[in-house]
Amino acid sequence: MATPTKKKPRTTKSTKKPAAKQQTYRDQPRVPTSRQIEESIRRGTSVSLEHFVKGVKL
Amino acid sequence: MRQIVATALDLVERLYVHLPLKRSMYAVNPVQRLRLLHRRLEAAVSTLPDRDFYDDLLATFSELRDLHTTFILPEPFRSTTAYLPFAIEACVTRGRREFVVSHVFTNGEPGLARARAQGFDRGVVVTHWNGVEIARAVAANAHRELGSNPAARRAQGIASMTIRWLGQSLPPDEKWVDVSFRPKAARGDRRETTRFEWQVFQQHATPNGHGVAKAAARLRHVIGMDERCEVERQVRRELFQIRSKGPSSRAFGRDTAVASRMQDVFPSCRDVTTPAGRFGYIRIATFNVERDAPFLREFIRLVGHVSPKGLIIDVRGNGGGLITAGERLLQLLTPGPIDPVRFSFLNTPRTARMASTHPFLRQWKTSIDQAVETGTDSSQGFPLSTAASCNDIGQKYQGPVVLITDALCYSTTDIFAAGFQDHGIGTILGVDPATGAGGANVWEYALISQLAGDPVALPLQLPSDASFRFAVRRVTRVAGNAGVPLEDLGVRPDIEHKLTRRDVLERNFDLINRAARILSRRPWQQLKVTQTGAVTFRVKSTNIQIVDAYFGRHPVHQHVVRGKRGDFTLSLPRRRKDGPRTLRLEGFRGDRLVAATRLQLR
Repeated sequence: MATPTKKKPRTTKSTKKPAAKQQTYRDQPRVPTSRQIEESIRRGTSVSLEHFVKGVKL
Repeated sequence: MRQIVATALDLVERLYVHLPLKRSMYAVNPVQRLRLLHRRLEAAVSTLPDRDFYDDLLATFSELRDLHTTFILPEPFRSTTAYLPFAIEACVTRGRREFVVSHVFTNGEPGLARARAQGFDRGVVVTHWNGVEIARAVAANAHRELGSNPAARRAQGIASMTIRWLGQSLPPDEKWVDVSFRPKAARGDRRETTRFEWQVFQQHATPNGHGVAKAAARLRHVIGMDERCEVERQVRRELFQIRSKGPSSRAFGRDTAVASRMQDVFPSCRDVTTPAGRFGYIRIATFNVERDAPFLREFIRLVGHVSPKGLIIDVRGNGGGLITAGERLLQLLTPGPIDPVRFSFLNTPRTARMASTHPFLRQWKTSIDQAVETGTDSSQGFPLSTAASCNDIGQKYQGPVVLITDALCYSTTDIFAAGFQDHGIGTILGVDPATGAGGANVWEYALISQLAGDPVALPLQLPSDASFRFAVRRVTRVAGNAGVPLEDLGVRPDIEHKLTRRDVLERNFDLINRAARILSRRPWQQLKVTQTGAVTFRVKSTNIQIVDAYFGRHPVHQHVVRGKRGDFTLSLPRRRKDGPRTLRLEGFRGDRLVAATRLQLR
């Protein structure tokens, strides 16, 4: 009598080890988008230089 | 402070690609200067005042005369720009150089109403600045600027008289300026003096921090831009054009303007009618875009609406942006192939490590490693934009082209102008003796820190949130100028035009006339094809004698055109099913390739 071939146990998704994430230039910190930059300029405000200098530590 | 100086020292010594050139050209030694500053900080009993420290660090970088390589001051300076409520420009009147007020705010800026009552307005000639003769004041300002060549320093000097980004220079020492000017209706030598206080414009904070480089995160390593020029351009546009009423003046071809979908990048595209004829005009204010594909699509759309007889491309004041946008744009203007410029690293252990760690830098690895034996300063040069991507669209504007440049054109714009000249695309008409001469690819500190993978020497976060930008890969030109660096030399125009008073006040009246005269002397041509059947194509041509047809790279037919204008049908052999899907036509006048077009086959 032929012995049934032993099936390979299926690897479940959860047992797979996730590949180590490679550090590349793609992983760099988030940068402002084009729309955010335009918004930042559009909502900018003006004050006198004297007022600005008083408020900064130099 | 010591950490900032140590980081600067490491970057200058081990990454800064122009270090050998700058040492020799300007007889400077930034490495020794930074070492001395580091020693001073170590020996200091009490801490160095911030102002002195920043002044010293900024001065070290300004000696390099490189707008790419700078120390960026922390917040709140980084998001702040100081300005006066007007702008001045230089022009030549009756052989004499004078400085004319070209823009004035119309809203209620302090001091403006009083100045207006004294006769201060657009068009007045400025004679003195804080009591110093204006030419002398501009020269002194230019000396402090980072421009690579004298023309660039002068242009930067004039621009920074009335607007200064505080990310690269501390606030002006003076709180106000006394401006002496000749009122328009003045008789004789009568002068008026009025006082303006410096104002500052502060950008609103965004969730991801401040910045003006718009390139998408994955393209941050292909930027070529003068950040200060770009900040000031954006702030000036907001203050002078959007918040304040623009100048009312004569302009060519207002009625034929094409509405731009990228107003910040292409603020003007129209036909200009001049005594020499009617030609297209397009202004490219910046290459600072998120991706190059939408930029190219919009350019193609815009130039498709203007006169085919000639095109004026105006890139004055363009501080650069995404290098691939500038390089890929060239193919749209010429029937010939584009060879992208080459970029080289400084040969050091740090660049060798980066090249061996990161796949996108690997092509530089062998030549950097070989430097141990060869002893050369720079690595072999490789393109950033692949040759395929620089030739994947082909020619879209077939008429003659004039490119207008000035000394504020920088980096990507320098690369674009160099490619324009090296590939013989057209004539360069410059308002200055050279472009800004920024020949490098620049990386921001965050990117450098990440790629270096050395958190001790180059930590991701610097004290006080300070930052740097560094030129890391230098550009060398191609074709007839193969191997010539762009840095410090820039691109010399074929023809120089000194701006006149009419140019400054009447939207470049004489400059555009001059460009139109150049175009009117060049023959124009057109070659268009449409598919009419499975193997038949209708071709229309102007000023073309021979048309060669190709399926992909394989020649399939040649047609001799009779007369100046051709309108004929091409019957081509049936294309193999697995063959190329593109029909390419090349138009010749005599032996010269003058136009090309492509058609995606059905």
